[in-house]
Amino acid sequence: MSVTATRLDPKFKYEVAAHPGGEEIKVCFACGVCTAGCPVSEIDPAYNPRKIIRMVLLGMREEVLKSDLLWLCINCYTCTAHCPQNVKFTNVIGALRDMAVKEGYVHPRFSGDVDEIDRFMLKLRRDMVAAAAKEKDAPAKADPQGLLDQVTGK
Amino acid sequence: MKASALVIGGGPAGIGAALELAAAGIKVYLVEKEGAVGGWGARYVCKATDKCRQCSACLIPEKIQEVYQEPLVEILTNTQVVGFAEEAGRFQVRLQREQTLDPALCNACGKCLEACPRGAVERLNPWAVAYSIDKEKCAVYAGENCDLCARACPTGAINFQRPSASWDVSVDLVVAATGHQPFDARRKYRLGYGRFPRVITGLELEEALNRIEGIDIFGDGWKPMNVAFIQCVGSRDVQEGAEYCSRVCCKYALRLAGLMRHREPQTQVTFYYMDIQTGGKGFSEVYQDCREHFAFVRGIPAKIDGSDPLKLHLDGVSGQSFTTREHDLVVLSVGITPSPDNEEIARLLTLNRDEHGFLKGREGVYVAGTAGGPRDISESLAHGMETAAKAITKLEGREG
Ligand SMILES: Cc1cc2nc3c(=O)[nH]c(=O)nc-3n(C[C@H](O)[C@H](O)[C@H](O)COP(=O)(O)OP(=O)(O)OC[C@H]3O[C@@H](n4cnc5c(N)ncnc54)[C@H](O)[C@@H]3O)c2cc1C
Ligand code: SF4
Ligand code: SF4
Repeated sequence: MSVTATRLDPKFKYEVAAHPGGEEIKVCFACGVCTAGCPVSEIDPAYNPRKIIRMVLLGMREEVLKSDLLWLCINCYTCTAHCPQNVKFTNVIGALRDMAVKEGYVHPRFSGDVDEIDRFMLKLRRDMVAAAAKEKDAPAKADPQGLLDQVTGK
Repeated sequence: MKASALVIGGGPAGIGAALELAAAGIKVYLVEKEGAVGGWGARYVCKATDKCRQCSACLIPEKIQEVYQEPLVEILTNTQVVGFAEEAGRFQVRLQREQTLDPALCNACGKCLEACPRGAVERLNPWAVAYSIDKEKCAVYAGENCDLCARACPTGAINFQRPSASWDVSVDLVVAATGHQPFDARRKYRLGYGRFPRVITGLELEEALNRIEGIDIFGDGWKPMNVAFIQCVGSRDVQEGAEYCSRVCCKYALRLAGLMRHREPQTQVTFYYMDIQTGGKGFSEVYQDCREHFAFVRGIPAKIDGSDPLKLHLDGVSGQSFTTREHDLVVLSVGITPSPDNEEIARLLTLNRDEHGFLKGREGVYVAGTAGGPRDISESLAHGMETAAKAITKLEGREG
């Protein structure tokens, strides 16, 4: 997702703002606190809430709605809790995903797939934590890959 | 003019108002709830390097001295307003004075301070004419038996049996100059204040640099090498109900950083900010100087890991996305928030508060300094004087 726009759509931001959850997007002052606290940004800096907001405000409709990054958010609401301007970015992402589906950038099936992945990851996490907890009072550091193999029976 | 006034709060704004009123021949009761006048600013360090940096910290001792020399101003420390009534354009005010430590007897020798095992005796600022007892730390106020300080005092200034005094005064006008509260940095949990010892506030840095000559701020021999200042902590923050700029943080932070570098030239400093407010006297010069020596990063860290060194999570550094930066000391530039007393003061004096919680004046009851909104020391002092001048004109109009 780079900021090299081909066609800008000045109405885009109003549509996002009109979407339930998107209301506060226009008051963002680009401080970057959302990104700096985001666990997804920490593992993949290409995912950047602040930048996504800038792109919406600039009217980069197509770039935003077709981007795969839109689907990386794990709905943890950390960004929302941190934002000094009360921008509820988690809801903004929800609004953008709805628009991406409605406008045909992704098949509705895909949105369900992502939910399924989220649930699967949570179960996996639960099982890995449980496996690691068996040795929770030992000083040795658990190895996530080893734990994964253990719980998936590899 | 044969008139009298009540000024509540002995910070720069209250002192400014008291001096101006006295100059017009008005008798002033200057009521201060703490054991010493001067307000927050009396704890700050002079930020001069090889030259004066115009931080205004030195204005306070100067004005304290002036107000103590003004015969028309009666300075009442350890005193609060407990009753207030209005009658035919005059105000009947009940004052209450805590008298455990009598400032008239105290000669500030410091014997009580040495005697107290709980550190409950304090000298609020270097210009305090008397010591004070911190009720939150003192054993007697916790219901225990103790009289170590009273016994150590050679002048009998401390007496826990001495009852508090209350009496009434009648005045023509009131100035509320009750000041502000520095933002409570604990509210920003993710920045680690209160959890990580090397995350401190600007207020603590002010006080530490005022106490010591060098930059050994914790008094354990350790010196910070690579300092981060985080700006706008508790200001311009809708979530904290503080949508305003505090107007003082950029100025004190840059000057404190300059002072640290002056004391220890190899100290590295980085500012994390949204934008720098450069208004105010002599400040653009300070800022230019800082740009040369310090790093400026546009972006506010969202969280700090309590590792050694501390790890700051941030975004948007020179076009980059998510990054982390390491520092061995983090200073949170906390802003000005409304005093928690404002609600009670507004009720007592029948005042309104603005949307943030700062006080608004009315006929006969004026508000000066940071009680009414963010201001620095010289602005608060000037505002106190201005407010008094306005009140005097009003009073003359009424009498004439
Ligand atoms: C961390 C920090 C650093 C700063 N550094 C600088 C700097 O370097 N230079 C600068 O110019 N400004 C600085 N400022 C701003 C400065 O602190 C204020 O401008 C100044 O203190 C305001 O003066 P004031 O008289 O309005 O209030 P205060 O200083 O808050 O004084 C109010 C006084 O009223 C008393 N009081 C309160 N309630 C009552 C009551 N109910 N009854 C009786 N008395 C009461 C208080 O005890 C206090 O003595 C800084 C602010 C902060 C937060
Ligand atoms: S934290 Fe809020 S104001 Fe700051 S960049 Fe993110 S959405 Fe915008
Ligand atoms: S809700 Fe989404 S964008 Fe916000 S911090 Fe969590 S993962 Fe990041």
